[in-house]
Amino acid sequence: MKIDEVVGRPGSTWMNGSGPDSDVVLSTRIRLARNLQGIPFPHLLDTKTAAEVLDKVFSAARYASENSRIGNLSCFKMDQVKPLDRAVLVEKHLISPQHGKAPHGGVILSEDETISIMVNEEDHLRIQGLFSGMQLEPAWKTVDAVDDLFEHNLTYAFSAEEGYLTSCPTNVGTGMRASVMVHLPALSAINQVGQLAPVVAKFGLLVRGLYGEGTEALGDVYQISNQVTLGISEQDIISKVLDVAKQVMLHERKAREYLMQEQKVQTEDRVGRSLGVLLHSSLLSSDEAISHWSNIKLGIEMGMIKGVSRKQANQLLVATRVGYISRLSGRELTPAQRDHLRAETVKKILKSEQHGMGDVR
Amino acid sequence: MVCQECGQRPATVHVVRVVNNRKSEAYLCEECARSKGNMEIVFNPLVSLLQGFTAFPQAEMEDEKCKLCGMSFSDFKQLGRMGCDGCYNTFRPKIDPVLKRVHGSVKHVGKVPAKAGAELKISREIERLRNLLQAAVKNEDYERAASLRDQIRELEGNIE
Repeated sequence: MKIDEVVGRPGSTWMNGSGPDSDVVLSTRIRLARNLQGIPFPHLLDTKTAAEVLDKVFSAARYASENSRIGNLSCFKMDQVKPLDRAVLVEKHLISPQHGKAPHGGVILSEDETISIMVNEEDHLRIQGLFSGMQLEPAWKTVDAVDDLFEHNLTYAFSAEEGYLTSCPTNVGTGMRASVMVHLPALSAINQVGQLAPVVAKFGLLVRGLYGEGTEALGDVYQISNQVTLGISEQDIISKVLDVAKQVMLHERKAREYLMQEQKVQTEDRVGRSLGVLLHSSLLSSDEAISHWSNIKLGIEMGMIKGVSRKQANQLLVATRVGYISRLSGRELTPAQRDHLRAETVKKILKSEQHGMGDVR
Repeated sequence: MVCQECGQRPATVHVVRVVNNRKSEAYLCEECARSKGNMEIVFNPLVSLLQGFTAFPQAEMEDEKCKLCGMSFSDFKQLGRMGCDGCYNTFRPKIDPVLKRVHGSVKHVGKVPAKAGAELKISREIERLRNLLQAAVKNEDYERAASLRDQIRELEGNIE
């Protein structure tokens, strides 16, 4: 697989909207932090040793590819990934924005992008499973198996006391972060989202907006994840996140029912206007795009929009980001040029699988 | 990581600056970050916790270094990062209170890797069998107790 294939398509498997509870849960992610025994963590590595770590992990990846059903894994060195491509990998949640700062960074991707492994980021390995909808158990089974396959050729830094040893002590123990990305437009519409954080915090979990800075969560997309990684088993972390996410789902669905019964026309109006903007505007900023995205996703789930699939809507999450748009053009764009290309891209995606949408064509 | 400006002090501040939609980032020490002025300064919350932490055992405050990677405990306090897996062993008495504060625990109970954790797997199994043994003795099931005792002895032999 070439990196162009990955960054050239706006869709990832996690965005296809096929997973369970995809009306509320966009995706599930589990990542494991792992390090190699007796080798300094990436922030202290000299370039020679960093290159050796990269080689070791890449050859472990080849072994994993050949000896399992996870399929082919492709290895990429970060210094050979162009900055524009790198930005798209970040927007697809396949690497972190910080990745590539330490020398000899690498990324290993499965064909369907459900598995991505960062090499020499904060830890020597960050193994991630990214799935559509609510799939904590399948995601854990996958990363657990990948972890075992890699361990076959690597000796992990591990102690009986602190478990898997990580660069930052906040990840030590299981090295696991389990998170679900939820879309809460109805709770947001009735001003109930603010109550979420304190409740979630009571369970030792963290909730944060995924787009936008500070308190403003653009697109009503939130991430719920565990903070504690030591003194709790992987299974217990998953159960905790699952329990809380289920409650959040329940409340969001109730809020949608409420909107349907009490504010149907207002909601239809909001949804319809947003669809109008996305289908007919010629200049679209990324903040504007994501706000309207939120409304049309709600419209799709509430049956107010026909002819646009969940998959198309989810693809917009990546396709409207700055990196993806810049890469499409292949050159530096002025903000206005970018907004124009974004508007065109959104139209193209929304019209791609059109059937029976009256106002298009 | 050392400060990208002076190249001497450890970098503790991550500076992000956005000018005309272009983002620039730098890793600086606090002094250099201050001297640059009007910048958005992002502090590492763990570093803030460590700087203000009062629970470190006073008697051991002399600056011990990790034999494997050469990092000292004051480096760790500045960076919020361990240098290598050996640091956990070297700084255990000092790091335990931090772990306790962050996680509420100092003991791993999750997955054990096949290779690096082979011994731990055995000792966890011994622990499990000991509990069964106690139950068997309590129930006066001496036949089962004897068999469990033999299993435990065998496993204990594997560790040594």
